[in-house]
Amino acid sequence: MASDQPTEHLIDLLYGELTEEEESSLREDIAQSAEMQAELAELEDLFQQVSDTVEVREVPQSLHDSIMAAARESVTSTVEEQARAVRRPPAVAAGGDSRGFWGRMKGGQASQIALVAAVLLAGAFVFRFVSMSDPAAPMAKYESEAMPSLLERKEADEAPGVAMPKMEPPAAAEEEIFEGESAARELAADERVLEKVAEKPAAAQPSAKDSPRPEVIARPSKKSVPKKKAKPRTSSKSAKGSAIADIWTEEQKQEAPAPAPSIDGNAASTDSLTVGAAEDKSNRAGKAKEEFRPAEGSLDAVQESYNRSDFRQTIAQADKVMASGASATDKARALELKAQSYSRLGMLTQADATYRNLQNNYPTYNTGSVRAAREELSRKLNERREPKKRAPRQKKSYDFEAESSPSSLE
Amino acid sequence: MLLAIAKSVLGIKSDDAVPYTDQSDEDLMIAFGEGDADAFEVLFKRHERGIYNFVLRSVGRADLAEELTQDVFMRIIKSAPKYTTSAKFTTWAYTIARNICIDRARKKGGKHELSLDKNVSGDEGEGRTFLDNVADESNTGASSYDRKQFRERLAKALDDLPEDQREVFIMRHVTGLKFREISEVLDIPLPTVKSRMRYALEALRGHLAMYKGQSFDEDDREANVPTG
Repeated sequence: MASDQPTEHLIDLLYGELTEEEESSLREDIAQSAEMQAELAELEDLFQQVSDTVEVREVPQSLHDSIMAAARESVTSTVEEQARAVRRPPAVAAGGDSRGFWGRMKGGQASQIALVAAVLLAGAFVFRFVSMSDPAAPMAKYESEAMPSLLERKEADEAPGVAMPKMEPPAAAEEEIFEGESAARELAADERVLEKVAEKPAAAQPSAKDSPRPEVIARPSKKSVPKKKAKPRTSSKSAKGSAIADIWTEEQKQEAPAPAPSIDGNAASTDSLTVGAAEDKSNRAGKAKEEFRPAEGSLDAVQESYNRSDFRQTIAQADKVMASGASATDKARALELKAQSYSRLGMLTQADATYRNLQNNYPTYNTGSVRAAREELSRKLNERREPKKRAPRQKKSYDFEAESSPSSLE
Repeated sequence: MLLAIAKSVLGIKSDDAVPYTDQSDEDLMIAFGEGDADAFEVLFKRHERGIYNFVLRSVGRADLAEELTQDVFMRIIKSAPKYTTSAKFTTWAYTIARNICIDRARKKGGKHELSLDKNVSGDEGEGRTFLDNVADESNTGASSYDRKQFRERLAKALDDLPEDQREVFIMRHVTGLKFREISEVLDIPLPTVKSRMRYALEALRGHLAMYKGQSFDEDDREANVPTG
């Protein structure tokens, strides 16, 4: 290839691809070599002939115009794209999918329908769960009603010269109220009564004589009975608990001839209940109580009837509630009161049927207390039946003497 | 960039801008990618003839050459926003043109051929060939006959050349690419390009030995000199 180097340099020279220095150097070499001069002359001759023969054609004007039009159109679209990129988010400008979440869903319309259905189902489930299974929801209504009066009651408790029985800590009292469902509802009803009773500090301490419904509070649940060491009341809720405890304590005093035991077993504190309880104030509280008349066919009416131990009225009111468009929670509560009324009336079979109805229609409502009530009912029913079974069959004796006596003939 | 776009849209040109004619191909391409259509016009005028003739001699048909040339420049236009100066524009553009020609030849089932002896119209049989494109078509007489003979021999000599040599010859002699650019387009070393060119010229010289020392331009001039 070394011998080819001069020829390649001559070609470079022929096509003008040498620098000035390279060209001058090569021309000096050519001047010294006759062979290279002849070679260069031949190549120049050939180059000239080919260059003269081969024509370089011009681009057609139509082709030129069409390409330039395409270029200008491309520039326009590029400018628009860049302007859009300034306005739009980077992901979209970079060629990302510009559709929204709804449009980008895979599966098209089926996925959209499925998503809507799932959301609706979840919403319905949450609504049902909240409205049916939350035991605190019905209480909140009563609590809100009772709260203002209890606040006033608290102020009355703090007034000098008024001694109140000590209660357990507020948090513990509140927890117990919410845990015992049936007891809590009774307490809520009592609080509503207290709302009217506790208009004044002195009226918050009714005497045994003026106790509005002692029979209602005659059976406080175990959880509603304070058992722990008493602490000073510092909140409205503790005032609420103390008010209920007051009524229950007075009821105990009514039932028992002996002084009722105090909440913490302190007889001195029990005695203090009657201190400062003026009779006229108690009468005013009784009047306030009488003014409280709930609407017919409402749960309040059912509760009111039940609190007044008017169990037949309670059953009637409960039926009205069931027939009305009341909420499921109210209906369930009405059924429960109806069942309790049957139980109070001694109609255990009807009570059991009502409880069964309650369980079937409202399976999530107070399951524990309803179950316990049914067990209690079935126990009572068994007790009622067992003596009949166990009783030995005796021959019916005929009292001939009585038949023959003149008085009987008469 | 936004400023450049705004200027382009409004037709405002900055005073300190370098004239398009003094800018490199790469700078013009970048300017076009940013939305400057005038830059592309300058760039297009620089290379349209070379690329068109390269394609024309590759496919041998004027109509097809126009179509493929348009494809080449459309590809360049579309790639403008992503163009970087990592590659020389000339190399890049001729690589595109060459690939398009090769693809076209493959689709037709034939081989990629570069010829100067095909009809410009693309029709078979008699017709005007690339070698008929002479500088002055008004020539008559013996000069015209000799020229025609020379063209035929040149065309035959080129057809007889190996394809790699013919390709280098056309790129250098027809489109005017430098040897270095040819080596980049063909992706072969520079000495190889020069070797192929040398072999091509030697082969042509052997085929055209009878026309040694004859200049058609001089003959034409003598023939066109008015007598009396």
